[in-house]
Amino acid sequence: MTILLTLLLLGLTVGSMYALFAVSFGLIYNVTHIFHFAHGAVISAGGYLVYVLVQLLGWPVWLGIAAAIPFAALLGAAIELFFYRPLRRRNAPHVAFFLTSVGILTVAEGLFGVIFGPGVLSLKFLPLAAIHIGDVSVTTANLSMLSAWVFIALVVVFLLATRSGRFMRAVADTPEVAKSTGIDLEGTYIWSFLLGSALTVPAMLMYAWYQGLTPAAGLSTILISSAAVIIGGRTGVLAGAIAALGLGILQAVAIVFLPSGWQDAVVFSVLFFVIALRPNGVFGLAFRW
Amino acid sequence: MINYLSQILVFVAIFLLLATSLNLVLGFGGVFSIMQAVFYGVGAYAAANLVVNLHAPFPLDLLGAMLVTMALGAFVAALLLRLRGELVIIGTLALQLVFSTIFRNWNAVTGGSYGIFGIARPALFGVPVSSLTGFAAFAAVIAAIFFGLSLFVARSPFGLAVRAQREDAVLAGTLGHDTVRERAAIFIIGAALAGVAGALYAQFIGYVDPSSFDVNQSLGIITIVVVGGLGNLWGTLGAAVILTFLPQLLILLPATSAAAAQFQLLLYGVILVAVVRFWPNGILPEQPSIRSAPARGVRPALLGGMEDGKALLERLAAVTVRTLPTTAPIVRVEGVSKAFGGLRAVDDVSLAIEPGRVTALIGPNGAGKTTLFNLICGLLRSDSGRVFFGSQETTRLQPFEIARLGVTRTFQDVRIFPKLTALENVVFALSSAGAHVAERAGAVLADVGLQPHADRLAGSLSYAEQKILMMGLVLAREDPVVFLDEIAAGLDHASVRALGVLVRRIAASGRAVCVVEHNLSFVWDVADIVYVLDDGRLIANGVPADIQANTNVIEIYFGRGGAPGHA
Repeated sequence: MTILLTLLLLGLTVGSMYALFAVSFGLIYNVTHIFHFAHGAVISAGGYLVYVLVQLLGWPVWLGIAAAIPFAALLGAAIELFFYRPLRRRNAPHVAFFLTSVGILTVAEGLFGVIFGPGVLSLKFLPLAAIHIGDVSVTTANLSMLSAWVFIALVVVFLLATRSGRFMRAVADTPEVAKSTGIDLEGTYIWSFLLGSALTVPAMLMYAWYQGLTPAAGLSTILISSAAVIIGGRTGVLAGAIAALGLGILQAVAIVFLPSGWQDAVVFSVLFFVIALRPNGVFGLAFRW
Repeated sequence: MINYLSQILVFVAIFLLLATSLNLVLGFGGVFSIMQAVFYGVGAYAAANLVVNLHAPFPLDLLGAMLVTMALGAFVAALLLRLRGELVIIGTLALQLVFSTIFRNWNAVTGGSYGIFGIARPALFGVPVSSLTGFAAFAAVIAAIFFGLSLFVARSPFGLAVRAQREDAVLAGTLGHDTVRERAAIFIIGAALAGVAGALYAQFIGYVDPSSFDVNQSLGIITIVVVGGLGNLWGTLGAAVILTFLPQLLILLPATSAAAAQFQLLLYGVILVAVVRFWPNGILPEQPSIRSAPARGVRPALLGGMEDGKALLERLAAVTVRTLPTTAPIVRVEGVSKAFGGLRAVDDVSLAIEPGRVTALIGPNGAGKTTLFNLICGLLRSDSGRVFFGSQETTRLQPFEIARLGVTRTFQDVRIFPKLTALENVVFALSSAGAHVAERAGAVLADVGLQPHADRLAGSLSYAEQKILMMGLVLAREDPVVFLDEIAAGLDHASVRALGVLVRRIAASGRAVCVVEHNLSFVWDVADIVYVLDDGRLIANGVPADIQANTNVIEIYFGRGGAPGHA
């Protein structure tokens, strides 16, 4: 029983982190319809920047994070500006967007591998300690993941209450109508890249706290968050967040039924069968934004 | 040195097979698969198990690897290939990750992360191919055979069909092609080729482990295909050579092998982004699968002054239409309805389209005319009611099945395959039936005056020429039932008259013709019987003279006091 509770808590916390990754990816994917794999490059870049500023250069932690957030936001917007926008102007097929996106992620993975080496780097200023709640124990990193929901709540408020947020929802739901009512499509795209990319920094800090930085971290996080967004369906960011939470719990609990090493197969089999059998997501219209 | 070169040659052969397999799937078929490394891996493990556990001799190991990958390919195709493009990307990516896990963990079959060791090289006529140079020659021959087969497939009518469905699956379906099956077939062929590459790899290296078949491998294969050019296998050959040699230069860098791997990743990524951005066609662009025979030594450019589009359209009035040897079926629509949400687009419509006559559907915008066409041709499923072609019910048939019963339809304005040549468009339209397709297609193009443009991409033709090509597809198919959706739109008076003569002639040849039209003077010219739709309901039918005098119809079109004669 304790084991199951521990696993549930593990799944709940890791799933919350996945949810934040999924919201950051979903914001961009829902609004621009670009399968933005290069998001993984932004995710890694923010993590490594914090590592360099705080651990190598000795900046205060808060300053390092404060610098990483606008950096990630601008990096995401730069990818839109310098790579996707020219393709859109050329009316390129969506294959071209995807290839470019994959290429950028590959470049980033290679670059970080060359600079920082292929091994795991841990963030020493985020100590990993165990915390006991009754019989159940979790790490400090796991507890930090629960704060993901604060960020997600802020995003939802932004989407519902602000002008830019309304534009983003309108563009995501009916791009043609939104365009015909005079919404600046490309401006809205930039906004979604800025916001979605900024959100990767808190999520990546949780990830690095929990399992350290590797060049492949961007790829593995983008895989799980894109899986969650597809499983949730393209009706808003909440559906993806809920699906991500579910995937986190499934991944953690799967260890009871399957030998270790097979969890990824479970997660991505779910993704495959959802795509094959429920291509519009599992929730229908249950979660709107 | 010779051993070093032999080793590189083997890898060129392997990557050529892998990239060719993906180019068939992605470049020709338009199926965006990022699981090609899965088929590569499954082929390698299948061959490894066959050789190590069952001591299977060549070529049984190769055939076994092909069979297993084809079975997996068929399974994936059945589940994924009905979906829209980006979901195929994610679905195949998901499978790539699932299989990466399986390769790493299914110890009984894959040996887990240690892999399978001691895979013997094949023996030919009892002589083991053990030397590096010997194996290089063996790999080169295998790769050449399968590359040749791929070229053959790419140039075959099937290859053309695969490219056409990539461009426009709906149009391909209404021309009688089962596009889902064609996509599945090319996907399975691609899987088999990747399986062969896997078998070669396993026997060359002598052991297989999961690291060679991960997602980065799939992305590397995509890079080769994109650099070479989507839809051009010779480009793939060039890119496979270049991109296999290029990373070898990294050995010159003073770095560890782990760092070299990271450099290779970096290099491939930069190449991929740069090629997509600056060189979207790759090394070699797609080529037509078939070219017109030059007319007895005269080069196409010299065949008379190219007539302008308007003159060509007027020439359509002179085109002969072969008389139908049998009687065309009557198309009967019985009480068909279709709603979109709350909107009743077609509401309980019954009508008959008879052979030898031109039946016209008219009505204001949004009256449901094109929706009714789509219901009859199977592009939409009706909510209720039935459709018959002769005695056969077609209500629930797929568009390609209905097309094969002898129906051609055109789409509003112009719809052709812009990235196929004019000749390929006609060949494709004919290819669901009969031999000597190329000659017949050439004859049709000559009939409608497009012979000088036979080898131009249809998308580069003028508007009028595209319209003529579209009518050429109708004439080429010689189907007993013809649906024409607003063919007179956007044309001047003389061209419309010429088209009208042609439409009358098609009906006079014994075919059943149905037109949807906004241009009423065209309708009064060509129609034998006119049905009027308004808000999805049939409100009048009769000969043109009656309809012109019908006060209900006049009101719908012109409000009170108008007159249709002035349209």
